[in-house]
Amino acid sequence: MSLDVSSMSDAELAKAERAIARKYVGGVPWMMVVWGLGNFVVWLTLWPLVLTGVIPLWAGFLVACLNMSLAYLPSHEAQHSNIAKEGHRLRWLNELVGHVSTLPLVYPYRILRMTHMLHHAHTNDPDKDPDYNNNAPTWIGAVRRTIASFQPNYVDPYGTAMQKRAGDPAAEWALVEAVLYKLAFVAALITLAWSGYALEAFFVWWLPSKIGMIYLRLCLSWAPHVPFAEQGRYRDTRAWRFYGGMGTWNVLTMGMQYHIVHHLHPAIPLFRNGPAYWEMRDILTARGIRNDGL
Amino acid sequence: MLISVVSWLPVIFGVGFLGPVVAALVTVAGIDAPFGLTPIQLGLVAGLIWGAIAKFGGRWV
Repeated sequence: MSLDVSSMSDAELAKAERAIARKYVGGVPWMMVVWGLGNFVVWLTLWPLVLTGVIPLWAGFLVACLNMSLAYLPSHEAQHSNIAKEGHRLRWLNELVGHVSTLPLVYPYRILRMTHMLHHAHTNDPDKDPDYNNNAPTWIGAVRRTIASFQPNYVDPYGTAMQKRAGDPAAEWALVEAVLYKLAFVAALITLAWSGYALEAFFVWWLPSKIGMIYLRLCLSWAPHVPFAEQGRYRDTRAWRFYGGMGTWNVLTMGMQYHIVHHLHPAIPLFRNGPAYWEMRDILTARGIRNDGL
Repeated sequence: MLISVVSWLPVIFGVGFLGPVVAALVTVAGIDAPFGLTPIQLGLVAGLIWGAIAKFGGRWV
Protein backbone atom coordinates (compact mmCIF):
# COMPACT_ATOMS: atom_id res chain seq x y z
CA MET A 1 0.00 0.00 0.00
CA SER A 2 1.53 3.33 -1.00
CA LEU A 3 1.17 6.41 1.15
CA ASP A 4 0.22 9.84 -0.17
CA VAL A 5 3.09 11.62 1.52
CA SER A 6 2.50 14.94 -0.25
CA SER A 7 -0.23 16.00 2.16
CA MET A 8 1.43 14.71 5.33
CA SER A 9 2.92 16.97 7.98
CA ASP A 10 6.41 16.37 9.41
CA ALA A 11 4.86 14.82 12.51
CA GLU A 12 2.73 12.48 10.40
CA LEU A 13 5.70 11.51 8.28
CA ALA A 14 7.76 10.78 11.39
CA LYS A 15 4.96 8.69 12.85
CA ALA A 16 4.50 6.71 9.63
CA GLU A 17 8.26 6.16 9.36
CA ARG A 18 8.45 4.86 12.91
CA ALA A 19 5.48 2.55 12.32
CA ILE A 20 7.23 0.98 9.34
CA ALA A 21 10.53 0.70 11.22
CA ARG A 22 8.84 -1.10 14.12
CA LYS A 23 7.75 -3.87 11.76
CA TYR A 24 11.38 -4.72 11.01
CA VAL A 25 12.69 -4.62 14.57
CA GLY A 26 12.75 -7.58 16.91
CA GLY A 27 13.69 -11.22 17.10
CA VAL A 28 17.19 -12.64 17.13
CA PRO A 29 18.92 -12.10 13.77
CA TRP A 30 20.35 -15.62 13.68
CA MET A 31 21.91 -15.03 10.28
CA MET A 32 24.25 -12.47 11.84
CA VAL A 33 25.11 -14.91 14.66
CA VAL A 34 25.94 -17.70 12.22
CA TRP A 35 27.80 -15.23 10.00
CA GLY A 36 29.93 -13.88 12.83
CA LEU A 37 30.80 -17.12 14.60
CA GLY A 38 30.98 -19.15 11.37
CA ASN A 39 33.34 -16.69 9.73
CA PHE A 40 35.63 -16.82 12.77
CA VAL A 41 35.63 -20.64 12.80
CA VAL A 42 36.43 -20.75 9.06
CA TRP A 43 39.37 -18.40 9.58
CA LEU A 44 40.63 -20.49 12.53
CA THR A 45 40.27 -23.66 10.47
CA LEU A 46 42.42 -22.10 7.75
CA TRP A 47 45.47 -22.26 10.01
CA PRO A 48 45.86 -26.04 10.38
CA LEU A 49 44.83 -26.50 6.75
CA VAL A 50 47.49 -24.08 5.51
CA LEU A 51 50.19 -25.06 8.01
CA THR A 52 49.85 -28.75 7.11
CA GLY A 53 49.72 -28.03 3.40
CA VAL A 54 46.20 -29.39 2.91
CA ILE A 55 45.36 -26.21 1.03
CA PRO A 56 47.93 -24.03 -0.75
CA LEU A 57 48.93 -20.71 0.74
CA TRP A 58 47.46 -18.69 -2.13
CA ALA A 59 44.04 -20.28 -1.51
CA GLY A 60 44.37 -19.64 2.21
CA PHE A 61 45.19 -16.02 1.44
CA LEU A 62 42.06 -15.57 -0.69
CA VAL A 63 39.81 -17.16 1.93
CA ALA A 64 41.44 -15.07 4.68
CA CYS A 65 40.78 -11.86 2.69
CA LEU A 66 37.12 -12.87 2.52
CA ASN A 67 37.11 -13.67 6.26
CA MET A 68 38.52 -10.25 7.10
CA SER A 69 36.00 -8.47 4.88
CA LEU A 70 33.17 -10.35 6.59
CA ALA A 71 34.49 -9.90 10.13
CA TYR A 72 33.02 -6.55 11.08
CA LEU A 73 29.28 -6.50 10.41
CA PRO A 74 28.20 -9.19 12.92
CA SER A 75 30.07 -7.23 15.61
CA HIS A 76 28.30 -4.12 14.37
CA GLU A 77 24.93 -5.75 15.05
CA ALA A 78 26.15 -6.63 18.55
CA GLN A 79 27.36 -3.05 19.10
CA HIS A 80 23.74 -1.97 18.63
CA SER A 81 22.52 -4.86 20.84
CA ASN A 82 20.50 -6.10 17.87
CA ILE A 83 21.19 -9.74 18.67
CA ALA A 84 19.97 -9.43 22.27
CA LYS A 85 19.33 -6.37 24.40
CA GLU A 86 20.60 -5.86 27.95
CA GLY A 87 18.65 -8.21 30.23
CA HIS A 88 17.66 -10.62 27.45
CA ARG A 89 18.45 -14.29 28.15
CA LEU A 90 20.68 -14.35 25.04
CA ARG A 91 22.61 -11.22 25.97
CA TRP A 92 25.72 -13.42 26.37
CA LEU A 93 25.38 -14.38 22.70
CA ASN A 94 25.23 -10.73 21.67
CA GLU A 95 28.47 -10.06 23.56
CA LEU A 96 30.11 -13.27 22.28
CA VAL A 97 29.43 -12.34 18.65
CA GLY A 98 30.59 -8.79 19.33
CA HIS A 99 33.91 -9.91 20.78
CA VAL A 100 34.67 -12.91 18.60
CA SER A 101 33.77 -11.76 15.10
CA THR A 102 36.36 -8.96 14.94
CA LEU A 103 39.21 -10.97 16.47
CA PRO A 104 40.78 -11.72 13.06
CA LEU A 105 40.91 -7.97 12.42
CA VAL A 106 42.45 -7.47 15.86
CA TYR A 107 39.87 -4.83 16.70
CA PRO A 108 38.43 -5.06 20.23
CA TYR A 109 34.67 -4.92 20.63
CA ARG A 110 34.54 -2.37 23.46
CA ILE A 111 36.36 0.42 21.66
CA LEU A 112 34.44 -0.34 18.46
CA ARG A 113 31.13 -0.07 20.30
CA MET A 114 32.01 3.15 22.13
CA THR A 115 33.36 4.92 19.07
CA HIS A 116 30.50 3.67 16.91
CA MET A 117 27.97 5.20 19.28
CA LEU A 118 29.89 8.47 18.98
CA HIS A 119 29.75 8.13 15.20
CA HIS A 120 25.97 7.79 15.33
CA ALA A 121 25.57 10.70 17.74
CA HIS A 122 27.84 13.06 15.78
CA THR A 123 27.89 11.77 12.20
CA ASN A 124 30.07 13.95 9.94
CA ASP A 125 31.06 16.30 12.77
CA PRO A 126 34.78 16.90 12.12
CA ASP A 127 35.54 17.18 15.84
CA LYS A 128 33.27 14.56 17.36
CA ASP A 129 32.76 11.82 14.76
CA PRO A 130 35.60 9.26 15.16
CA ASP A 131 34.92 8.05 11.61
CA TYR A 132 35.25 11.50 10.06
CA ASN A 133 38.88 10.65 9.25
CA ASN A 134 37.63 8.44 6.43
CA ASN A 135 36.48 11.48 4.47
CA ALA A 136 37.99 11.88 1.04
CA PRO A 137 36.61 13.23 -2.23
CA THR A 138 37.24 10.03 -4.19
CA TRP A 139 37.33 6.30 -3.45
CA ILE A 140 41.04 6.15 -4.15
CA GLY A 141 41.50 8.97 -1.66
CA ALA A 142 39.59 6.88 0.89
CA VAL A 143 41.92 3.94 0.22
CA ARG A 144 44.90 6.24 0.79
CA ARG A 145 43.33 7.41 4.07
CA THR A 146 43.09 3.84 5.28
CA ILE A 147 46.68 3.09 4.26
CA ALA A 148 47.70 6.22 6.16
CA SER A 149 46.00 4.76 9.23
CA PHE A 150 48.47 1.85 9.15
CA GLN A 151 51.44 4.17 9.58
CA PRO A 152 53.20 4.65 12.95
CA ASN A 153 52.63 8.42 12.89
CA TYR A 154 48.85 8.06 12.54
CA VAL A 155 46.86 9.65 15.34
CA ASP A 156 44.01 7.18 15.78
CA PRO A 157 40.74 9.07 16.30
CA TYR A 158 39.38 6.08 18.21
CA GLY A 159 42.20 6.46 20.72
CA THR A 160 41.68 10.22 20.83
CA ALA A 161 37.97 9.73 21.49
CA MET A 162 38.76 7.45 24.43
CA GLN A 163 41.36 9.87 25.80
CA LYS A 164 38.74 12.64 25.77
CA ARG A 165 36.81 10.50 28.23
CA ALA A 166 39.67 10.32 30.72
CA GLY A 167 38.29 9.40 34.14
CA ASP A 168 35.70 7.09 32.62
CA PRO A 169 36.91 3.60 33.66
CA ALA A 170 35.14 1.95 30.70
CA ALA A 171 36.88 4.23 28.19
CA GLU A 172 40.24 3.84 29.92
CA TRP A 173 39.94 0.05 29.90
CA ALA A 174 38.85 0.06 26.25
CA LEU A 175 42.00 1.98 25.38
CA VAL A 176 44.26 -0.37 27.38
CA GLU A 177 42.52 -3.34 25.78
CA ALA A 178 43.15 -1.93 22.30
CA VAL A 179 46.86 -1.56 23.07
CA LEU A 180 47.01 -5.10 24.49
CA TYR A 181 45.31 -6.43 21.35
CA LYS A 182 47.92 -4.72 19.20
CA LEU A 183 50.80 -6.08 21.28
CA ALA A 184 49.30 -9.59 21.30
CA PHE A 185 48.93 -9.40 17.50
CA VAL A 186 52.58 -8.48 17.00
CA ALA A 187 53.66 -11.15 19.53
CA ALA A 188 51.60 -13.79 17.70
CA LEU A 189 53.04 -12.78 14.32
CA ILE A 190 56.61 -12.88 15.65
CA THR A 191 56.03 -16.27 17.32
CA LEU A 192 54.63 -17.73 14.10
CA ALA A 193 57.43 -16.21 12.04
CA TRP A 194 60.21 -17.62 14.24
CA SER A 195 58.47 -21.01 14.30
CA GLY A 196 58.96 -21.31 10.55
CA TYR A 197 55.58 -19.94 9.49
CA ALA A 198 56.49 -16.40 8.44
CA LEU A 199 54.77 -16.53 5.05
CA GLU A 200 51.69 -18.19 6.52
CA ALA A 201 51.41 -15.46 9.18
CA PHE A 202 51.88 -12.80 6.52
CA PHE A 203 49.40 -14.19 3.99
CA VAL A 204 46.73 -15.62 6.31
CA TRP A 205 46.64 -12.82 8.87
CA TRP A 206 48.67 -9.64 8.41
CA LEU A 207 48.06 -8.83 4.73
CA PRO A 208 44.40 -9.98 4.67
CA SER A 209 43.69 -7.85 7.74
CA LYS A 210 44.98 -4.77 5.90
CA ILE A 211 43.04 -5.60 2.73
CA GLY A 212 39.94 -6.25 4.82
CA MET A 213 40.27 -2.90 6.59
CA ILE A 214 40.60 -1.07 3.26
CA TYR A 215 37.46 -2.76 1.94
CA LEU A 216 35.48 -2.23 5.15
CA ARG A 217 36.30 1.44 5.48
CA LEU A 218 35.57 2.04 1.82
CA CYS A 219 32.23 0.26 1.81
CA LEU A 220 30.94 0.79 5.33
CA SER A 221 32.22 4.25 6.15
CA TRP A 222 33.27 6.20 3.08
CA ALA A 223 30.60 5.24 0.55
CA PRO A 224 27.52 5.84 2.75
CA HIS A 225 28.76 9.21 4.06
CA VAL A 226 30.68 10.79 1.21
CA PRO A 227 31.16 13.78 0.89
CA PHE A 228 30.98 14.01 4.72
CA ALA A 229 29.71 17.57 4.33
CA GLU A 230 26.27 17.52 5.91
CA GLN A 231 24.96 16.78 9.37
CA GLY A 232 21.45 16.07 10.54
CA ARG A 233 19.26 13.00 10.73
CA TYR A 234 18.21 12.86 7.08
CA ARG A 235 21.32 14.34 5.48
CA ASP A 236 24.39 12.80 7.13
CA THR A 237 24.02 9.45 5.36
CA ARG A 238 22.93 8.70 1.82
CA ALA A 239 21.03 6.03 -0.02
CA TRP A 240 23.13 5.08 -3.02
CA ARG A 241 23.32 2.64 -5.86
CA PHE A 242 26.59 0.87 -6.56
CA TYR A 243 26.91 1.06 -10.34
CA GLY A 244 23.53 0.19 -11.89
CA GLY A 245 22.79 -2.97 -10.09
CA MET A 246 21.18 -4.46 -7.07
CA GLY A 247 21.50 -8.13 -6.14
CA THR A 248 25.16 -9.01 -6.55
CA TRP A 249 26.19 -5.40 -6.19
CA ASN A 250 24.30 -5.13 -2.94
CA VAL A 251 26.09 -8.24 -1.67
CA LEU A 252 29.44 -6.77 -2.70
CA THR A 253 28.67 -3.63 -0.71
CA MET A 254 27.29 -5.80 2.11
CA GLY A 255 23.96 -3.97 2.09
CA MET A 256 25.50 -0.55 2.60
CA GLN A 257 23.40 0.99 -0.18
CA TYR A 258 20.67 1.06 2.49
CA HIS A 259 22.89 2.48 5.23
CA ILE A 260 20.54 5.47 5.55
CA VAL A 261 17.99 3.12 7.14
CA HIS A 262 20.59 1.93 9.65
CA HIS A 263 21.36 5.50 10.73
CA LEU A 264 17.69 6.35 11.07
CA HIS A 265 16.71 3.10 12.80
CA PRO A 266 19.80 1.27 14.13
CA ALA A 267 17.67 -1.42 15.78
CA ILE A 268 16.73 -2.83 12.37
CA PRO A 269 19.09 -5.73 11.58
CA LEU A 270 21.30 -5.46 8.51
CA PHE A 271 19.41 -7.83 6.23
CA ARG A 272 16.08 -6.06 6.85
CA ASN A 273 17.40 -2.62 5.92
CA GLY A 274 16.64 -3.18 2.23
CA PRO A 275 12.97 -4.16 2.64
CA ALA A 276 12.50 -1.39 5.22
CA TYR A 277 14.01 1.13 2.80
CA TRP A 278 11.68 0.24 -0.04
CA GLU A 279 8.66 0.42 2.25
CA MET A 280 9.58 3.83 3.67
CA ARG A 281 11.24 5.23 0.55
CA ASP A 282 8.49 7.77 -0.26
CA ILE A 283 8.54 9.02 3.32
CA LEU A 284 12.31 9.34 3.29
CA THR A 285 12.14 11.23 0.00
CA ALA A 286 9.60 13.61 1.53
CA ARG A 287 11.93 14.07 4.50
CA GLY A 288 14.67 15.16 2.12
CA ILE A 289 17.23 12.37 2.31
CA ARG A 290 20.25 12.33 0.06
CA ASN A 291 19.52 9.71 -2.56
CA ASP A 292 22.12 8.88 -5.20
CA GLY A 293 20.08 6.69 -7.49
CA LEU A 294 18.45 4.14 -5.19
CA MET B 1 56.31 0.55 30.24
CA LEU B 2 53.43 -0.12 27.82
CA ILE B 3 53.93 3.23 26.07
CA SER B 4 57.65 2.58 25.78
CA VAL B 5 57.05 -0.80 24.15
CA VAL B 6 54.46 0.66 21.79
CA SER B 7 56.79 3.46 20.72
CA TRP B 8 59.38 0.87 19.64
CA LEU B 9 56.80 -1.39 18.02
CA PRO B 10 57.85 -0.54 14.43
CA VAL B 11 61.41 -1.72 15.14
CA ILE B 12 60.18 -4.80 17.02
CA PHE B 13 57.80 -5.57 14.15
CA GLY B 14 60.50 -4.94 11.57
CA VAL B 15 63.08 -7.23 13.14
CA GLY B 16 60.74 -9.80 14.66
CA PHE B 17 58.26 -10.23 11.83
CA LEU B 18 59.37 -8.55 8.62
CA GLY B 19 62.87 -10.03 8.99
CA PRO B 20 61.71 -13.65 8.82
CA VAL B 21 59.14 -12.75 6.13
CA VAL B 22 61.84 -11.21 3.92
CA ALA B 23 64.07 -14.24 4.56
CA ALA B 24 61.28 -16.63 3.61
CA LEU B 25 60.46 -14.66 0.45
CA VAL B 26 64.14 -14.59 -0.59
CA THR B 27 64.36 -18.35 -0.01
CA VAL B 28 61.15 -19.15 -1.90
CA ALA B 29 62.20 -16.91 -4.81
CA GLY B 30 65.60 -18.60 -4.96
CA ILE B 31 67.41 -15.28 -4.79
CA ASP B 32 70.98 -15.18 -3.49
CA ALA B 33 71.41 -12.67 -0.66
CA PRO B 34 74.17 -10.11 -1.38
CA PHE B 35 77.49 -9.81 0.47
CA GLY B 36 77.42 -13.49 1.35
CA LEU B 37 74.61 -13.02 3.84
CA THR B 38 72.23 -15.84 4.66
CA PRO B 39 68.53 -15.17 3.96
CA ILE B 40 67.75 -14.61 7.63
CA GLN B 41 70.69 -12.24 8.04
CA LEU B 42 69.47 -10.26 5.03
CA GLY B 43 65.93 -10.29 6.45
CA LEU B 44 67.06 -9.03 9.85
CA VAL B 45 69.10 -6.20 8.33
CA ALA B 46 66.20 -5.21 6.05
CA GLY B 47 63.69 -5.47 8.90
CA LEU B 48 65.86 -3.40 11.23
CA ILE B 49 66.40 -0.65 8.66
CA TRP B 50 62.74 -0.59 7.58
CA GLY B 51 61.54 -0.65 11.19
CA ALA B 52 63.91 2.18 12.13
CA ILE B 53 62.72 4.24 9.14
CA ALA B 54 59.12 3.64 10.24
CA LYS B 55 59.83 4.59 13.85
CA PHE B 56 61.82 7.74 13.18
CA GLY B 57 60.15 8.72 9.88
CA GLY B 58 56.64 7.85 10.98
CA ARG B 59 55.73 5.88 7.86
CA TRP B 60 56.23 2.37 6.50
CA VAL B 61 55.50 3.48 2.94
